[in-house]
Amino acid sequence: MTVGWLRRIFGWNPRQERAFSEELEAHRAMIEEELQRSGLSLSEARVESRRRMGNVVLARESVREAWIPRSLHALHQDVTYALRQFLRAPAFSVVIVATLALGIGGTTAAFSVVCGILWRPLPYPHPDRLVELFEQAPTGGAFSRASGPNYLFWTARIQRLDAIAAFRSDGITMTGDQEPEYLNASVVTPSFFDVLSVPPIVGRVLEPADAGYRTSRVVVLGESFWRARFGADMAVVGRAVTLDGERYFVVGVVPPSVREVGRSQAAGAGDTDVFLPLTINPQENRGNHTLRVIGRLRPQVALAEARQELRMVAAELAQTFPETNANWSVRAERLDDTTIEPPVRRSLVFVLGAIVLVFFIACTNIANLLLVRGIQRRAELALRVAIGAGRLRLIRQLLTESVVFAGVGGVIGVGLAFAAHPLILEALPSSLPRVNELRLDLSVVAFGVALSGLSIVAFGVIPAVVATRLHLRPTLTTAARIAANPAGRWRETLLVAQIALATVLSAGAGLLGQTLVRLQQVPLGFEPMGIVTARLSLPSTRYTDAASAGRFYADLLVALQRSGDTDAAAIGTSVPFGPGVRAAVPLTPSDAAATPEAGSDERIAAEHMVSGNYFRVLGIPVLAGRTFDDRDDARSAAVTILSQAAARVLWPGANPIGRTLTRAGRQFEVIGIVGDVRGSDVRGLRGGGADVAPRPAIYVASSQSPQRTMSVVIRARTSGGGAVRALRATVRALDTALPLRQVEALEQSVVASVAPVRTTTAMTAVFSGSALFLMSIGIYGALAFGVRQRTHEIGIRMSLGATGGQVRLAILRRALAVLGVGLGLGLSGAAAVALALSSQLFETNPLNVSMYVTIAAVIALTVVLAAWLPAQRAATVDPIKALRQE
Amino acid sequence: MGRRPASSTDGGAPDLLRGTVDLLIMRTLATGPLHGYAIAQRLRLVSEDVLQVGESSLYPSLQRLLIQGWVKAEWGTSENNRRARFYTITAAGRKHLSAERREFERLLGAMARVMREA
Repeated sequence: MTVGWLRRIFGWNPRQERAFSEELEAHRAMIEEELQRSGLSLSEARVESRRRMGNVVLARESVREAWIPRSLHALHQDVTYALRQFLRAPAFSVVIVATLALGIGGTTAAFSVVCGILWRPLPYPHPDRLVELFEQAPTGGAFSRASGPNYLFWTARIQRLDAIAAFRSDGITMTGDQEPEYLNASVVTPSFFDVLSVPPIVGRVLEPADAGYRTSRVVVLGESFWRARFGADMAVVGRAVTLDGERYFVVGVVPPSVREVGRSQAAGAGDTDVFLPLTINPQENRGNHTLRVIGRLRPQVALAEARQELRMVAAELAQTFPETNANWSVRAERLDDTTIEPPVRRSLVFVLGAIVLVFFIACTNIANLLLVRGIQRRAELALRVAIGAGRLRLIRQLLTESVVFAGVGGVIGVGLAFAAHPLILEALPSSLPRVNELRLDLSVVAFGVALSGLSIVAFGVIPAVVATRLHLRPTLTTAARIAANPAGRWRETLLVAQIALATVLSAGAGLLGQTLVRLQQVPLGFEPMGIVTARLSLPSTRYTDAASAGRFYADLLVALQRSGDTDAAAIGTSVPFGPGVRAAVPLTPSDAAATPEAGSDERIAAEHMVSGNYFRVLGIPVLAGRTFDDRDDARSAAVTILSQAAARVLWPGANPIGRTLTRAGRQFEVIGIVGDVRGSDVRGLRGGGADVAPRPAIYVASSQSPQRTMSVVIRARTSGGGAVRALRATVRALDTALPLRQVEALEQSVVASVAPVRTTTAMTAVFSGSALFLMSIGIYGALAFGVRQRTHEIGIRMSLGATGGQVRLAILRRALAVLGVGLGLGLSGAAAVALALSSQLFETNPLNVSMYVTIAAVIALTVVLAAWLPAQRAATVDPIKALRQE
Repeated sequence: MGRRPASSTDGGAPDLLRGTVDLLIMRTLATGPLHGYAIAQRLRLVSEDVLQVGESSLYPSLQRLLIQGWVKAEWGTSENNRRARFYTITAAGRKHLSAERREFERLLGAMARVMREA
């Protein structure tokens, strides 16, 4: 039976069809011959043989049917028919397919991200057994790292975990035959590799013996570093590398999944270049919390049981070391949860939910459109019923069209998701955990396919059932009007929701757009054009005191000044919007004049150590007094320069020049006032965003307080990399083992500081655009449907004297009623959302009336435009035709 | 397009008839390979013009037998040097035929008894 079935599927083809024709013709010829033999003339025999052959077409049909089951044949018919419908109304089809493709593509793309980050198991064996351990202070609050001695205590006591490991991040400089390079180092206990249970690619991982004090120094390389620096050389094991001036031997290479995990991954830690053994000194200060700790639960041990044990361990610690550990507790969380923190998890799920919602609104719209067309095709469908098509057959045929739409839309959509993947990866903030693990795979395709299938249910079934139900009306000629339309109210609710959604999203996009513009226009207080910055860290092994560091930077500045590629050069502990140290110091005037309350945030200033021409290079205006110069050295009196805001806080209304302030017990004489600078706040990784008001700043001469780690700021004379090359060469001439880190164009850093706002604005704009598009399709579909249904009624009205204009107005009025309710809800929703978001806005009034008016106008215009076509159609109804039609 | 009118033109019990035609054709082929025209001729001759199998049921029937694998077809040359398709019964076909034949005779015998005695 199975064989027969297979033969059926593959057996019948055009060649066989031709052979069969030949066979029939041979048969006829034989009859003809026989007739001729019995005495008929050739022509008589031909006619008679044809007659005897009977209905050849029928024979051919039934032969074909013997091969191809009827259902398959019907499917073929349906698909052909669907494609023909597709081509007959190309614009209609393109709108539907485009909506579906965008919907499926967007949702699939979002799914691939959310699934990859939230739901894909961590890339380790038995990831559900991995936990992260913390200590928690008696005051509660955030979990803190563990102290070294406490970690050692845990390893001796904890039974319910297979292994625990401690690690911390470090930076280390590699020197050798190439340019000195700053590496991301992870200092880990050898058990780190046991906990993660990922085998090395080459060689071995660290072993307990490696962590001793007297053993030789060994290092394990991360895969990406191994590829980049050693060209994936398998013979790397045993090679020596120089790290911070010491020789280390490479013992192995591990894949990228071996990395700093958990809370540190959530903080956007990058790939580790080298793993160094961590040796914990048991005599270390027990109150010094510096280590991250992970562990692996024993099989069949629940997290709750492990927590119970940790409580006992914490109690024992508190009893043994009361001065450091009293009331401290030990916490364990699943590594899943610490890797992706609940707020990130929630917002990702929210984004996916929003997209799925928009997608289903799109599907309902398509359902409306198909419904309209189903009504338009009423006569055709009725004709088919009349000649014997069953209702199921019609439903199946209409569903086939939906399947074709969903199929085409799904294929394009999944293609779009794949095409957009690299762009999405780029747009995602790199601080998002697991972003670098995101891959497109079969599960993404499967999701796209499932979504297409779901969309058929969402938009295909109801129109098919409704459209065919209409034809069960008694006859073709009776008015098949629907007296009560149960779907109508539901559809209007949907339209109101769509208008409200579009309004909220447009308002959000508008406010964010305004914020973005304002952010780009805000005076920064300095001129970033043409400035290149880089970080330098002098190792304490060779620059043992502050004076030697001071000498190095003084020489560097002199050398840079002489270089032809730089206009001017300066150093500072940080640059605006760039990396660096911005210490928070209280502003304390020595004369104790009228000062603001101690402890107020205004009195916390950012402290910068800079060279004298820092202000000139960055274009920060000097408002009064002078900047640092050769007079201000280690032997002369300590001087300081205040920012305008600091001067205003310290001595409001008075001239601060010549007055003194106290910092860390030293007196500083104020010699100048400079302008305020944004991107220099004490909070935030890079001095906060452009939206943060400038914090009071005090500048101290770097010649009087030398630091080892500084930012070099140069104003390039030439565009291109000339200045950077000159900087590199100059640094190498002074110290061959010093890597240049974080070389950046200051302009780029400023642009990057608004990148998150730009991403959010772009996303909201895309959402609001799609919502507007969907809304107009929805309005059009619903009204066109309504006009179709009411053609008879409109005909009666017009024959009773209603003019086209009145009819048009009646239809438009319905749209306007929906618009009114939708706009009302949307605008109040938008205001609520805007107020909730006001912390995200910058110099933008969340209740900006003119913007709301604009948005309302845009929405209203879109609705009227979408309603115009159906209204116009209603206005041009020919009453004679409309009445005769029924 | 649409649904073809139910093909009940073969008479009251098309399925029964269909099965019977299949059986008759296989019995005809049991004597040796024949082309379509010869099958129709043979049926007419042997049944003394009682059974007239039209082309519209002969060929679909042959196709069904092909699909089941009970006959196979080959192109050859007819007695009048005409290209024709010759049908041969297969081993599976013979087995099926004898089974069907027993069933047919059982049924016929039963019917005959009923007609005689009931």
